[in-house]
Amino acid sequence: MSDVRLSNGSPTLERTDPRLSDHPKPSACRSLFGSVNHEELKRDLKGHLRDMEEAASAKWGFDFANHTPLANGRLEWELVDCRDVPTFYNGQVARREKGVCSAGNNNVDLNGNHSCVVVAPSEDSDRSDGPMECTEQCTGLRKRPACHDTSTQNKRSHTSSAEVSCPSRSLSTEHTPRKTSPKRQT
Amino acid sequence: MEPQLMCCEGNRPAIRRAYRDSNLLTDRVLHALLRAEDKYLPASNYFKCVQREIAPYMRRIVATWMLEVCEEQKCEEEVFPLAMNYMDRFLSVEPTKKNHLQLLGAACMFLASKLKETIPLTAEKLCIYTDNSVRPTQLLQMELLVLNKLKWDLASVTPLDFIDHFLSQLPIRRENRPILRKHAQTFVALCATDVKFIASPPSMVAAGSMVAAVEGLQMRMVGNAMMSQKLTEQLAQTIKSDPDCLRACQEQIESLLETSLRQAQQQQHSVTMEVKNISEGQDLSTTPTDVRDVNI
Repeated sequence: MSDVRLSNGSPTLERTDPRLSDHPKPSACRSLFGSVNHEELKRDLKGHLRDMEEAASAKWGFDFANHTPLANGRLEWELVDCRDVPTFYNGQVARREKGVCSAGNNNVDLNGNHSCVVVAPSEDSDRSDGPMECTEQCTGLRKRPACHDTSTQNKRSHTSSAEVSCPSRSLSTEHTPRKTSPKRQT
Repeated sequence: MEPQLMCCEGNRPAIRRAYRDSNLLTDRVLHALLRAEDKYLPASNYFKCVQREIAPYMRRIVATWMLEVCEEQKCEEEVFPLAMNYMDRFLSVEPTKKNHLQLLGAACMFLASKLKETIPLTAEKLCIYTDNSVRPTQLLQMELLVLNKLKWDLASVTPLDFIDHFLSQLPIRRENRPILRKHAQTFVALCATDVKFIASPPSMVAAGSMVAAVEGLQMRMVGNAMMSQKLTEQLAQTIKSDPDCLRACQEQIESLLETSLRQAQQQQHSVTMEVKNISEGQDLSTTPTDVRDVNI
């Protein structure tokens, strides 16, 4: 008898219906502080992203833009076979399709890590892993927004890099190299 | 035979929710929250020490807008307080231009929504809410910047994390919990819009909201009305704080409510409207038909 359920419960108390696709009400669509200077914004954001990349580069001793270790970094980087790393880092599983984002400041880095890790075997060039991140950022349309690996990494190491936690790329980098570090290359 | 009747309003499939897990309401969890909350506190003085262009009233403007967007988009309750926490933490470390504040607010909602919601807000939609003053690409870049400044740690403790703990601890009739939760949540959202609460620990805001909600609703809950003092003492103990602090916090919340109500009478804002409902002690449950006890 009292087994009747009301799927929509009491809407005000708890939301049960999915997000409406309705268009935003015009009244809520407003620019709060006047028009945005897009040139300036672009410059600022670019600058920030570059800073982040440089900080990551310094932290990991790795040139993420060019997928190469820095000459005098304190870390030793080595190529490892992608079969030697946990499948999680192995592109297919966790990562999405590769995007070809050349543009972004961040893009390459991600790959960079992975690629560097994975480089050795035949298919080193672009790991699928890396690209994904770039894709998101570069394109601006986040297909899968969330999966910056970095997040994980930062959680673990977040004390270390006080200033700048390294941007996305770092994550994969960080873990992989350490795991496999015994052998070195380059 | 008792056939089950499923009554679905509208065509949309309902969001499936997990059952509330009582294991998450143990003392162990509560203590972990209390330990963790300080880590996510913004700097209280960032307007003075960090920001050059951003003033408290601007935060209120952007917060009001964010709350409006969250409500219109029917975001989960956590999204707004969480987004405000991200914004405050960001502003605590990064001098920001006034012109970029709305973009920051949008990016924070974007992140909070992704963290908490099954169907997150999209970048495109958020940009529409800025009246297209920013573009999705910029939103994504800002998102990355925010993540970076927050050190990718988005698991902030918010006042809402404590509400269910309080509800389970206090001698409150089960059927009154939803309405109390709703009122407390509204107070929490209200606090998130006000700069005075930036540096208050989430547990304190939650406890203050809880007391304010209980007091506001007391008339409707004859039978389980606790003495206000006793309630304050118990909650203060729960959050390991001083009853006087809690009392002060509660008073601050109540005066904030009053202010908002006054504003609500002048201009009709969604936020304040809801607040108004609360103050009048109306039943917020607008379930169109009460079929819970239908006999078949």
